[in-house]
Formats: sequence, C-alpha cells, structure tokens
Amino acid sequence: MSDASLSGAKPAPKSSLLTQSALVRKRHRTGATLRWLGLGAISVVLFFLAVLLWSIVSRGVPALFQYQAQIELYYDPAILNPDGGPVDPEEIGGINLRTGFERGIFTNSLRMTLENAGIDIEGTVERRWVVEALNALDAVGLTGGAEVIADAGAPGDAARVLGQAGSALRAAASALGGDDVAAAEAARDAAAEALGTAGFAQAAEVVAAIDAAGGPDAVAALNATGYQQALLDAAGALRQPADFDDAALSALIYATNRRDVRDRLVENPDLVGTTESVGVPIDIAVTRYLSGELTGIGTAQMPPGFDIGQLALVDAMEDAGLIDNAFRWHFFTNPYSQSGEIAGIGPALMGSAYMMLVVLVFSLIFGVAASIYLEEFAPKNKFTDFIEINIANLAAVPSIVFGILGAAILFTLMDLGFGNSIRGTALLGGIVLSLMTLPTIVIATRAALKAVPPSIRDAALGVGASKVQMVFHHKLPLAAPGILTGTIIGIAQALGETAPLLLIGLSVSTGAALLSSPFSGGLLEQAQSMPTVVYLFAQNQDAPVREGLAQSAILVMLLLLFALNILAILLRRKFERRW
Amino acid sequence: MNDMRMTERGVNTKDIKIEARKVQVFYGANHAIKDVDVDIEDKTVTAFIGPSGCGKSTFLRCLNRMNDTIDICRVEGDIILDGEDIYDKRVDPVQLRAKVGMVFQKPNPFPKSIYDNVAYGPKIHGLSRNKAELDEIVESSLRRAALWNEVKDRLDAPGTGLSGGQQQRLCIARAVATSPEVLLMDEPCSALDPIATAQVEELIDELRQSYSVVIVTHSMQQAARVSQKTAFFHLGNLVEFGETSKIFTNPEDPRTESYITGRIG
Ligand SMILES: Nc1ncnc2c1ncn2[C@@H]1O[C@H](COP(=O)(O)OP(=O)(O)OP(=O)(O)O)[C@@H](O)[C@H]1O
Ligand SMILES: [Mg+2]
Repeated sequence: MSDASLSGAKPAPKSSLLTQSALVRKRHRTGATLRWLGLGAISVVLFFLAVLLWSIVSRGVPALFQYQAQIELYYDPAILNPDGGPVDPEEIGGINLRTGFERGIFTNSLRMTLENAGIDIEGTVERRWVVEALNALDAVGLTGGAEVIADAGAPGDAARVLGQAGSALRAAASALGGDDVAAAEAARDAAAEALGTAGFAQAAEVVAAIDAAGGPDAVAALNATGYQQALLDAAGALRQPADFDDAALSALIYATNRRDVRDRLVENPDLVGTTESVGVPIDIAVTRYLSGELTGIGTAQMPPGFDIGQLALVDAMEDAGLIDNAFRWHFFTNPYSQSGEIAGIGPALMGSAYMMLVVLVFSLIFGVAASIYLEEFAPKNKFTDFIEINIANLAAVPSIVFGILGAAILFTLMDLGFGNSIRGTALLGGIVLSLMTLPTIVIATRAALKAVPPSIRDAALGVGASKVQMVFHHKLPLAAPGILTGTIIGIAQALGETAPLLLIGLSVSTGAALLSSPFSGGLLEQAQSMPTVVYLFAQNQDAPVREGLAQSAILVMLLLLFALNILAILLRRKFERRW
Repeated sequence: MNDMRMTERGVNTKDIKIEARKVQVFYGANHAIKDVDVDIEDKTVTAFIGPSGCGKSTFLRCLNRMNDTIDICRVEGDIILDGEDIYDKRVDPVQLRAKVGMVFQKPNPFPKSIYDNVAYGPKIHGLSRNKAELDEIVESSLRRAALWNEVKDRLDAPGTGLSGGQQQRLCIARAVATSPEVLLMDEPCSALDPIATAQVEELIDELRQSYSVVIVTHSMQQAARVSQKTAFFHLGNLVEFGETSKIFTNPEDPRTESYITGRIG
C-alpha cells in the first residue's frame, strides 16, 4: 500500500468505522425486520390469548355465583299427609313432587317468608300493574288515571271501565271511517261520553271536537290521540293482578322437581313439622334480571316466561334482603342437570380424575417400559425401526380415531356379554385416553433417556454394573424429570380430550352421580368427564347456562390444566440434577 | 504356567496378567487397532503412549470389554486374562469389569453424593456386609485416591460439585473401591494440577503393590516416572513394547524415537 502511494496511484479507499458500510446496513435492516416480525407475531398471539381468557373469565366467574332466596322452609305435616294424622316416613317417598313440594311446601314457605318480611305479595304485584297502566295512560295525556282507577275499586273493575271506553273509541273509529255521518257522530259522542264517565273529561272534549263528517281525516285525528290503544293496554295491565297465583309465585324460585328435598325428608323423617332456613336458588331466567343483564322493561328485556308483576316481587324481595348472591359451592359436587340452578360438575370432575388415574397407571407403566426396552435393550434392526416409526406416527393420529377404536372395543365387549354397563365408564375412557397418551410418554421418555450423558453409562458399566442396574440406578433417575414432564403434559392433553370420550358414551350419561372410590368399583360406574360436561353445558336450553356455566366449567378445567403444568415445572425444578 | 516363559525371557520375573494376541478392532469400516500383541504383567504399571487418535483408548477399552457398548465396534483376536479368554461367549462382561476396573479420560462421577459414588461398586458387588464395612471401604478408597482430606467433611455433597481434578480422583476412588485386579486408567491426570498429579502417581505406584495398572498418558515424563513397561502405538499399530527405561533411552524403532523427542504427534 505504501508502495502504491509512493508510486502516485490513488490510495485504496479506507473504510471508516464511523460510517456503516452498505452490507452492514443491509444486515441490520434484515435483523430489525425479523425482530419486528417476531414481536408482531407474539403480540397477535398474546392478544388472542387475552381475548380468550377474558371471555372465559368475565362470564365464567360471575356464573360461579348464584342468586338465592333465603326461605324459611316449613315441612308442613298437613301437606305431607293430607289425610291428617302422623306422617309415615315410608309414605314421604310417594308424595307428588309437584303438588306436595312445588305447590305445597315451597309455595307456602315462600309466601310465609315474604309475609314475615313485611312484603304484601298481591299488593306488590297489583301496584306494579297499576303503575304500568298509569304509564300507558299518561303517555297519551289521559291525565287523572289514578283517580279513575282508585274510584273503580279493584283493578279488575277499573280494567272493565277502561276497556269499555277503549271499545267505544274503537267503535267510533270504525264508524268515522264509514259513509254514514249520523252514525259516525253518534259513535263519536258515545265514545266521548264513555271517556267522560270514566273520568277523562279533557280527553272527552278532544274526542267530541273531532269532525264527524271528516271521514279519513277524522279517523286519523282520533288515532293520533292514541287513547284507544292506551286504554286497552291499561285495561290489559289491570287485568293481570287477578292472574297472579301460586304458580306465578313459585316460578320465581327453583321449586320444580325437588327430588333432593323429598329424599332428604325420607332420610330424616324427624324434619317433618320443623322449619329450616334454606337458600333456594332463584329461577335461572330471573337471575338474568337480577344480574342486570335484562332490564325488565319491554318484552325483549323480560326474562322469558315472567312479567313485571313477578319482577316487582323480586325487587321487593331484594329490598327486604331476602336475596343474596352466594358462591355456587354445589357446582363442584352436583351432577349435570338440565336445570342450570342446580347443575354441577361433580361427577365430571371425579370421572376426569379417575380417568387421569387410569391413564397415569397404564401409560406410565407401558410407556416407560416400552421406552426403556426400545432405548436400551432392543436390537437395532428393521423390526425395531418399524416399531419406532409407528410410535412416532401414533402421536399424530387424530384423537377421534382412538375414539373409534374405543367404540370398537366397547361394542365387542358388549357383544361378549358385558352388556351396556361398560358403556361410559371411567375405566373404558381411561384406557382409550391411555392409548392416546402412550406415544407422547414414549417419545418424552426416550428423549429423556437419550439426554443422559453417555459418560454416566460408561461410569456405571465401568464399575461393573449390569445393563439393568445401569438403567435403573443411573439413567432412569436422571431421566425422571423429563419423563415426569412428558407424562404430565400427556395427561393434561388427555384431560382436555373430548372426541374419543363422546364416541364411547361418556356424554350420554347425564344421570351420572358421584362415583364411589376407585377401589370399590368406582372405575366401573357410569362416569362423566370435564370436556364432555362442557359440551353438555354448551348445549343447554337456557342461555345463562350456555353462556355462563359452560364458561365456569371451562375455567375449572383450565385451572386444572394450569395446576398440572405448574406441577410439572415444580417437579422438574425439584428433581433436575446437573452433571 | 509362566515358568517356561520366565526362564526364556530372563528379564521377566512377573506373571503375565493379560495376554493380547492379534487383536484387531474395527469401528465399522475403520480399522482402529491392527494386529496388536501385548503382555500386561501383574503388579506392574504399563504405559500406553502415542499420538492422538492412534487407538490407545480403544485398545484399553478392549481389555474390559467396554467396547461392547459401542454398536459399530467389532473386536477380533484373543485377550486372555489369567488364562481365560475374556471374549469367550460364557464370560459375563459384568463380572469381568469387576475384576478389571477403569478410570475414564473425562471425569464422570455419578450425579450422587461423594459417598454414594464410591460405595456404589462395593454395594452392587456385595463387598460389604454392613454399613460399617462400607464406610471403611469408602474411606480407604478415598484415602488411596488422595481425596479423603478434602472431602471427609462433606461426603453427602454431590460428587459433581467437586473441581475437575477432585472429580477425577473421585473416579479413581470409585474404581479402586471394587478392589479390581487390573486397573485401566485413561489419561487420569489430564485434568489435574501438578500436586494432584503427583498424588495420583503416588497412588499408582502404591497400587502396583497389589494390582496390575495400565495407564494411557500423553506425558512422556509421567510415563517414564510411573511405568515399568511402555507400549508405543502409532496409527493403530503397536510399534514398540518393552521396558520403559529402554524405550525412553534407546528405542529401536525410528517412529518411537521421533515421537518421544517430539517430532511426530
Ligand atoms: N466410538 C467410536 N466410534 C467410531 N470411531 C471411533 C470411536 N472411538 C474411537 N474411534 C476412532 O478410533 C480411532 C482411535 O481412537 P482412540 O479414542 O482410541 O484414540 P486415542 O489414542 O485414545 O486418542 P486420544 O489420545 O486423543 O485420546 C480414531 O480414529 C477414532 O476416530
Ligand atoms: Mg483416548
């Protein structure tokens, strides 16, 4: 270089460290692009995860709380034995759930409780409908409605008066539309008079002022007042309180089909004649009003099957402190039911736990044994290669295929004479899930065994350990954390699997009760599982169940999965040894 | 049985412990050991020297059949231990390895406590009847490996937590604990400082009283210091084998000479 400068040629361009060369700039650009892409991808994933979690938690957590009415439940001997005399414990079991419990004990107790709390049941309902009627009248300027209704006496009578005025207006409207001016005038005057006698003097004047010969214009003028519709609406509202009966009252609480209460009485006949303070769930449709989801104003915002009179009672109960929002503990113990008020995931939790147990035993024993054999003892030949490839393939088989396999086993067993009893049991479900989990565990175990440094193997063999001793004394303990993690991940995967379980009948056993201990045949009882019960919840007829309890069940399942994963991490941390 | 040979050779006053004849080792198609004949004497330290990759470790591993664990490895020829062919079908390598212990090139303690590392061999071979005896074996083994003073207060600490040199001595203690008849040591001092090296060499010298020791080393000085016999390997061949003093002062083969003077390697 010095030669070159000496000879007068142009010095070779020197690059400065202070300016970036084009190549370096390009490299940095690529790096930055990749970084942003990665960040973008992670943000998108996190966003969707957050949306998912939010939608589950925001609906699942409130659904875990349940509105219930504190009712003094009186086990009235007069109802339990209508013929009088002492109640025979044997007979309690035969008492009609509808007449004896729903309409009898529950309705009477609710009525008593409300009255003791100072609530005038019929009065509350009536006042609410009167307000409704007045609102309808006021809306069109029919002032003085309150006096009219008060003067009429009972709401039913007021309904008649208003109804007559409304009918007269309707007749006037049709007469005004006709050709006969005289008849139209007569009908108009009759309507005005009806309004007048009802007590709406001002409105009577308005109607009387309509030109009887006006034809369509007169009809339009009359309709524009809105009197007719308002009067008929008000009359309709005022007719409602008379319809309020025991059925309407007991509909507010969960009183239908209370087999549980009857069973309780059969077991404890001493309760007859006593009073218990019981939290009775509010009807699931009404809870939507209590939670504010439905406002109760207008038909669209009304809980299906309820009216404002009943909602007024609910308001009164709430004001009297009879309704509280308690944690739904029974959700974790009750079986699934069509009625969202008492539906739970108890048997499903147990069923899933039992299946996990079966999976743990089967897949851990077979999986670890198979991996040890393949990894340490099997000769390396075409046959073991074939087995190896197939195990890897098995891990990719869709779970529904395992379900088909399980169903095939099920039907074979049923043909062999096991009957229907094997259908939907935790044992069968567990075996099918084990088949599914096996490849995961085999792959994890083999990877863990492979990861043990070969120097450990040499060391063990070098001091004269046999192959079996080498595996069980040294490799297996070192591979244990990896095996454990693989197992827990496999089990967590099995916990969430729905498809195979649906096929072997775990969803149909909606009547499943809590299972007995696995050592006393619990594995052979009809079971449910978490994923299939989520499926049932999601199919329920009531929106609050579909949108609330289904999410609660999912939440419980997710928490279980998180717990399992955290357990895996903790165990890993605890047992992991460095070498 | 060796009387004849002893008188024949004259210089040899000791029994032959291991006799290797026409040993060939193949790693797949790679012919790693070619036609090696060696006699390892009892109560003698034999050093294997040679450039890297020449097959010292491979041959050493043949002596206790550690090569069995390598799938592609194939051994031919005869290796006779106390008159018995160790590659005989009836020989259980597990029993063989209890007799022929090994210390590996890289320290490889078990990820267990120091105590368990040393006690493992005696335990599986049933060398002790009770805890006291086992304690006794552990202590004497650690003493012989010159490690006792450093670890006696933390026998429950993990063996993998020791320094590299300490780990290597732990591996020596572990090998010694099973009281082998032959001890194979593959570069036992490559991770040790001069002080520990001196301790290990002292140990080797002491072991010679009761065992036959085979040591692979890259240090000419060490080979000269500790061994009585030296074997020089080159490219899979045994080039020269004989009295250490002779090899180092008056080698017969030019390759041996250029290696020990540092011209090849
Ligand atoms: N496990 C193995 N698989 C295949 N080839 C091997 C294996 N171990 C050793 N070899 C080959 O055998 C030859 C001898 O190796 P070896 O380990 O015996 O050498 P070495 O003399 O001990 O060398 P170093 O002094 O570096 O330890 C080398 O060419 C090596 O590549
Ligand atoms: Mg080597």
